[in-house]
Amino acid sequence: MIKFSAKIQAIEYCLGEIKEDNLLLKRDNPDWRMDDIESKTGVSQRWICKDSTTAVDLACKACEEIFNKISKDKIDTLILVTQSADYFLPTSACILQDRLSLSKSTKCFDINLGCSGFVYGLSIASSFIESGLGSNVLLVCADTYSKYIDKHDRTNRPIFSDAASATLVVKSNQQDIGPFLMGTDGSGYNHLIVENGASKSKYSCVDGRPKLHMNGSSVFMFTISEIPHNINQLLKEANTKKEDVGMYIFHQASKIVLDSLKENLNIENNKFFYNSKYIGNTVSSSIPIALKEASNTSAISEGDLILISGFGVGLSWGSCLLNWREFL
Amino acid sequence: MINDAKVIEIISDALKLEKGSVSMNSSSQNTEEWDSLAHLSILVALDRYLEGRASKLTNLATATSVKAILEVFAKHGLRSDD
Repeated sequence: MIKFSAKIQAIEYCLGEIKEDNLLLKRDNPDWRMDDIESKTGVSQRWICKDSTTAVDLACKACEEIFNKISKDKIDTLILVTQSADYFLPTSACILQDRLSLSKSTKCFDINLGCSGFVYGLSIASSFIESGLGSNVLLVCADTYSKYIDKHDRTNRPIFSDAASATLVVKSNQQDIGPFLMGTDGSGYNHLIVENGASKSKYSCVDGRPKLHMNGSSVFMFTISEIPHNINQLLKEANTKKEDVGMYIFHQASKIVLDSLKENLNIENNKFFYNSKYIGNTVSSSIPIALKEASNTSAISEGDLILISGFGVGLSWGSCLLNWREFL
Repeated sequence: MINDAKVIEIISDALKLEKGSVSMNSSSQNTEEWDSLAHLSILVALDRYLEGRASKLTNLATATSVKAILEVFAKHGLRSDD
């Protein structure tokens, strides 16, 4: 399995402007049992962007924070992971290049993935660096799922937040990123879907806006049957014991999903990172935000072996190992 | 293997209902506590009892009644008579 001479050097993130706690959900939906919902989701507040704010706007803010650490002139590649594009076309990464005033020689493209998107994006960033195509890759994740969610949607509204993250991936003297193990099961495409608004629905929408639908049980069953197998396989192929991993940082789907994975994989509590209580599920940003918070709280430190895993919409999944290096 | 009484007991515990509140006729249609989130709790509990074998049965995702769950187990040779 391939390891890459690349490392994560900085992460910054930006949340939606409006804090939404569970009292607000209760006011909008008096019949919801919020204690029960919160105990299962693990989320007590979410961050929602204003109507006028898009994922590219959030991405800009996250990237500007990174430019306090590195000159934007040094960025040679910009990868934007998003399922909340500003337009069907052009590519939102191109719009972001212009908004950030990046050099015209910057390679910019979108990746249309959700919860697995950071891992896929990191594999591409690492590949660019390993091949010499890039030296300073800005991997940006940005989504505004709240724009797809009805305020009375009891499955999705308690969970999802809007956010963007920017991760600087650079060349390393050591093989700090990898290996990766990723997979896809498109037969489950309709378990988490925005069905309307695009080509298949002849561009029509219900009530004038596209709506997110999630079959929570089906996504859950996929997660607990597929992800432990993926992680065990990754560790086996990397000749790494479970105990050698210093921290497991998963996509912050919801507490019930994470608890099930932790139990299934028999991971000790002090090696399993949760941070969705006050942030929510930020889709592809959930892993980089968790990495940033784990670093800020010293839950991870220089030299630790980290296993990250993203899984969900598609159905798509990806896991990888990385050696943690102190931020710039 | 799992018998009918155990399935009912597990569902009852997952829904935090008293014994006797869940019967063979219970479903998400007639049991207020059995919503989509509660169904996840049922799936977790069944999978835990069956030591990971329930998570392989994707049909359980849409089996939102006691009878439907038992049918899935029967189909996969996991339903016990005793």
